[in-house]
Amino acid sequence: MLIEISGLTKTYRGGVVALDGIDLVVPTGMFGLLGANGAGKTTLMRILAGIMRPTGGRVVVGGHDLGTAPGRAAVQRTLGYLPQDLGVYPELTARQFLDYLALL
Amino acid sequence: MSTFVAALRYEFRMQVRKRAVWLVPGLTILLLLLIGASLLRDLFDPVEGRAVAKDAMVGLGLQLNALLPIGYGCLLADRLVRDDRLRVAPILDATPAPQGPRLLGKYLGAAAATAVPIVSIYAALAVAYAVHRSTPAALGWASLTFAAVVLPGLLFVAAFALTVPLLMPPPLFRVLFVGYWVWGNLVPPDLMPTLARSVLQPVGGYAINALLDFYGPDGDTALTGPVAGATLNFLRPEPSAATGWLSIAILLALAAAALAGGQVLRVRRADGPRLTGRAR
Repeated sequence: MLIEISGLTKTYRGGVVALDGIDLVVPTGMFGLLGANGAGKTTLMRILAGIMRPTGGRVVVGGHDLGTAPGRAAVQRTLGYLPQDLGVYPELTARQFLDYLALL
Repeated sequence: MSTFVAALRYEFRMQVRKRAVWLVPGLTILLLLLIGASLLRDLFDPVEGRAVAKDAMVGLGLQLNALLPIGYGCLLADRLVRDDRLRVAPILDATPAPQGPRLLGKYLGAAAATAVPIVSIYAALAVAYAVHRSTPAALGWASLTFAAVVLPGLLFVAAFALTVPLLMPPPLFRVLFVGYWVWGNLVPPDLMPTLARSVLQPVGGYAINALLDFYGPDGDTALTGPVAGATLNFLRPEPSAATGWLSIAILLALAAAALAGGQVLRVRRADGPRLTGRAR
């Protein structure tokens, strides 16, 4: 799946600039993203997952524009996002938790 | 629709399994009985018991609704914020499920599950009374009382219990909530400015007085209406069918507003920076 990022910017409330005009093309296949703490890797991943809105720029994932609601929904139906700091509901079994996520 | 149903189903399932959900209302009832509350006497005492099914069931509903929502609100206080604490929120947010129906499902699922013990206690006492007095009408009055008095109050409490902890830690919310409940429902209005006896009172005074036409077993216990010398009397119109429905509508509208505010807060937070790893 091709990911095309152009001029991507994210400025948090308070003025902290996490991403500043990122241009990147991620080709189909395995791709690694390395960077120092605070470089904006998590911010970029959260934007790609549709959890966070960018301040500016454009992201197209597999032909779907994340800047539009239908595009974001299409990406979220396709893309699996596993945060580095993962938690689960203690009251649910693994099967039930996966079923819940699948239903969503 | 499927998002709403999935959230409702799983939130209900998770909450109803919590032991505290059953222990808190159970212990509250036990404590009430131990300190000599007239709960059982009003229903089953051959001399003091209420022979009229309506008096018994509405009176029982009022007694339960005056105290059990305190534990109810406290039990719901962590249900929304715990998604962040358990680090489940980013996974749920990355699904295509729209956030509005997900919040609504979580709200109704958790609220319904936490209400199960309250409903069970009320239903058990209503059935026992109906059998004891051979009065099936008691079940009808119990259902009406639940729908008009208990349910709006629980929906109101659940909405605020779910969303206010987005602004403060749940333990602090619980302390403030208990204080609010006593102040807003039980403190006499002529003692200090309070919401007691007003249309904003979640204990359901207007529904009891105006819709169910119940003024205590002796017919002289008004739970609503203006109080001489009290402030905020503009919130205490004379009870009528219109003010009864108005009170319910206001409680439900406030619940909807609390949920909408909570949704806005959640969206704003999801769009903010997230500390990860060691920085957390």
